[in-house]
Amino acid sequence: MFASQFEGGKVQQTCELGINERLFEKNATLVVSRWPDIWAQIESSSEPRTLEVDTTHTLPALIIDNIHLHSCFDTHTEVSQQLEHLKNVKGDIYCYGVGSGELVRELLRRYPDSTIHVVIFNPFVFKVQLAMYHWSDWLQDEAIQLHSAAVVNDVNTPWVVAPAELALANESSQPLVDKLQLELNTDEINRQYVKNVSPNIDANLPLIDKLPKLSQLLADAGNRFIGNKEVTVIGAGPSLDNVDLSCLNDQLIVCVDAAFKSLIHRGIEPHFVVAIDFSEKVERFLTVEQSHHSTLIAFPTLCPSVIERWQGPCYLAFSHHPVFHGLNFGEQDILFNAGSVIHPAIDLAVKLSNGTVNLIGADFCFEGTKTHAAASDASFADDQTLIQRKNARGELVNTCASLLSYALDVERYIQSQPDVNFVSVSQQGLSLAGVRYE
Amino acid sequence: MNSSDSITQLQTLAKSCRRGELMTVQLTMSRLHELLSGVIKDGEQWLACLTRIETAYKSSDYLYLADMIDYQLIPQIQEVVVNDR
Repeated sequence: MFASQFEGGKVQQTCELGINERLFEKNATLVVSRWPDIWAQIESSSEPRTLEVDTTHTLPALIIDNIHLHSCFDTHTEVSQQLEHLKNVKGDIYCYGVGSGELVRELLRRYPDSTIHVVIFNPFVFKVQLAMYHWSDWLQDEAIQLHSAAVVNDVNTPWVVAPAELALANESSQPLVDKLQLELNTDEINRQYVKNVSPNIDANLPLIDKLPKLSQLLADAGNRFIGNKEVTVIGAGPSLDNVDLSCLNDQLIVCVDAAFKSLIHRGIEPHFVVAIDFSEKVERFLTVEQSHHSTLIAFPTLCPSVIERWQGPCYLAFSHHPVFHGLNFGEQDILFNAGSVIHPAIDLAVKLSNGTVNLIGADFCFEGTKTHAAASDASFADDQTLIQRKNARGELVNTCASLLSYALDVERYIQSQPDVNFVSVSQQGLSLAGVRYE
Repeated sequence: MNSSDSITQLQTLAKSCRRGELMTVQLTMSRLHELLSGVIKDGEQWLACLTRIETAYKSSDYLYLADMIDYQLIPQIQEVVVNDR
């Protein structure tokens, strides 16, 4: 009976490895009585995973698919470092993953008045853990609530993560894993952003008081076209090459910096070009010689030579990021930006639109090895680790951590704009919540 | 880079592994050999340790990677420093 619980995970191996039937029954009884719905998922779960126990170091550690679930030397140090993510604890705490169980115990010790919401990412992995670890102490604690990641839509705070389980999540838990990974990477993303853009902001300081700002554009443009037309945002994803752009007649076009050259090559002069790119390579795809009829919306992070040489009108925009604090701008000069130029481009489109914003080339994934539209001349660093996710057609496509994080922030932005219809003309890109696909 | 700086950066790498901060891990791992330049010595023990670290990285076994750095690689670096004095 016990062995049949592990049919997906090489039964003989689990028994040889000392996975314990009595332990399993004791832990399982508590889960059955307190969370019968979750138990139903656990009981029926079966996956072809490789299970091992590493007994070569100080502590035995469970290994699933070559991934250790916790330290083989010192779980106390490991848990202490994971707990550093906890900030402003007042009330409930969200614990994503369990590891050896020490993380949950330490939360109970440190925060005796809090409810600890423990989120599991893979019922089969949890089943194996139930047969390996003495967890009855915390499983019967009234302060513990167990949840399945598949029904958790967003990352609740304050949070702490046992990260090995993110790598072992099942498919239905993947959306939450992506959101957590974005949270885990946020400090590094900010560090890189400040390091990369600060020199350009310094170099652009003399321009900040000279150039008009976004608020002036919106005031000037107000009577002419704001709210009169649909607006199409054009990103530089590979699907841009496959879209018939004749549908853009009579629409306002807002494009991102990396899509400008592609559009010019196809005979389209976008009304607005949003640019944030700090690197000098932006000059390769923001071809200023062809910029007479397009208005540039530039962040002070943009390479200074592009701003200086742009032939059409130029307005400055900013974001709420602390790197802009102390500069001379107002709330109306701010566009949403979470790292990708597609963010302020979409926000500008919303500010200009009649309530409908169309998306083209906003893919957040690759087409084979192709990362951008043909003429954009932009590219991603070769060292990006590829990740597979489903596109809007349900096909598995390659993407990477940075693109996934940009997509999640677009979804959050879209969620904050309930009165705007977002429509994508291509199903080649990642499926974005809140977007209608045509 | 001196051994003290290398150890500090390796400890930061191990901590990022334990905390699941993959972007930091990826950036630091790409500089691993640079971090170890001037410290690493020839020998089977070093090679075995570095192989375990690279294998753990490739299989996304980040907690084991952290263990290998903190409990094998750094003690080996400290041993070299003591012997070199």
